[in-house]
Amino acid sequence: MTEFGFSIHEDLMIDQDKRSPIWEAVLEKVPSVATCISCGSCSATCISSDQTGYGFRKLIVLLRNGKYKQLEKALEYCQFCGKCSLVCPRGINTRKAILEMKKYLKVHPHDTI
Amino acid sequence: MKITDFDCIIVGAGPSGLKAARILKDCGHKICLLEKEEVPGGKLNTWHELFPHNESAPAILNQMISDLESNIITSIKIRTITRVANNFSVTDQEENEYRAPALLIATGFKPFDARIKEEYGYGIYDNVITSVDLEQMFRSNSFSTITGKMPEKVAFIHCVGSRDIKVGSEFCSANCCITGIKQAIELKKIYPSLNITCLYMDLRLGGRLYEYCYKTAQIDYKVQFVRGRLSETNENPDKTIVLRYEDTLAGRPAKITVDLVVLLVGMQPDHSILGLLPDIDRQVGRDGFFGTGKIENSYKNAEDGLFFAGSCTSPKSVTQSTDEAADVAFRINSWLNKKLKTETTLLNDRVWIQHS
Repeated sequence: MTEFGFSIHEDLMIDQDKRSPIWEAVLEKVPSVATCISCGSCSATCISSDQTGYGFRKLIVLLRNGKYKQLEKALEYCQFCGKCSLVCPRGINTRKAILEMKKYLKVHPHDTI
Repeated sequence: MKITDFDCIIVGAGPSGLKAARILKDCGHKICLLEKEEVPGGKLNTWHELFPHNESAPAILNQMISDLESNIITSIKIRTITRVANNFSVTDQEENEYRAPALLIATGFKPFDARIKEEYGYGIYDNVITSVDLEQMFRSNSFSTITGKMPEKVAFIHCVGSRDIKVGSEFCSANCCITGIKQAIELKKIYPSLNITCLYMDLRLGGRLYEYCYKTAQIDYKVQFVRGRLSETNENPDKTIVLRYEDTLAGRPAKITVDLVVLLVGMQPDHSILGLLPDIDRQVGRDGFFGTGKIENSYKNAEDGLFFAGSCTSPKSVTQSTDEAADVAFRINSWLNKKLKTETTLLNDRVWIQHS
């Protein structure tokens, strides 16, 4: 292969034509995640968001768009304190949803999906 | 104790009650307008200016009352509502009885009690007020923090008691977004150096000219709009308030310190009329508001002579309330005309009714 002396930047385009199997799996187990309105209450109240920049809202965005590598990393920060579920105005069972994401990724690591 | 007969009893002399009363009176019906407060006008007595034209609320109220040219029975506590033969019979605290074949419920709404949303600190921190409190401040010209200091930074919090399963009201109150923008503009007009930030989830500005108000707030008054829902408030020793939220567009947790927080409280259905007549209780929808909210044909009425209008059927602005009241008033008119078998004569496009 010809070496051009530069590399092409990682493709940042979100491909909505691709299915997101984890999203579908989580949606089946915790249907309330579909009602997320991205208000950000969860991330604002999250005990680790100050340091990590992640909150439940961001997990949903990553999940929907199939950014599994980032999602796997973000999930490690969750301490299951449940504050996000306390503030959620849509009453989403956030802890259950995170647990389901973790369970799915344990069986199917992100690079195998 | 005395018994008086009417064609229609209207419960609530707010904008919709007043409007419906005027139209029914113009149509030639004998109306009875009951109000529980000492003065008619409902929530118009609380507001200072109305969106989107910044019209004076007291002036509009005076106009409505003088248009009516009819007696409003105030300070009424309804004791009982019963159906007697083909009539509704309403009795008050002095055992006076009002009878009519038609009953219009125009009991309006009540503002959401912000104390329920504990984490926002209303009733706990002095410098957290509601949009209703701010209207009172405008009316009495007493805008300041609790320490009497003039605020430099003010935050408006949208969706307090709306779209929130945690406080049991999942509906959008529809009028708080524009109220916040109206109040922000009013404040900036009086105090141009004020720094105003609005924390919103979505700005729902569906009414006529609302979007124009939004743009005016952005361009002429430099109001800052930040997308994120307030998560919690904390008070500093100097009584300023720290707000924590996520700037969802930046994707980062954020905080802001302000001198005064205004909670844009939602509209809750007023249930004080319930428990008197089963027919009314049956008309409560799953969101707590009355009626079905469907498009009714002009002769139909919900429950044989029972009608609803105004913000007791859904969150509404003054304009929407009076529009609905007008529609319902004409429906009551058609229904009464059928019911009373009165002779109607069309005269110069006006309907005159002679009771037989």
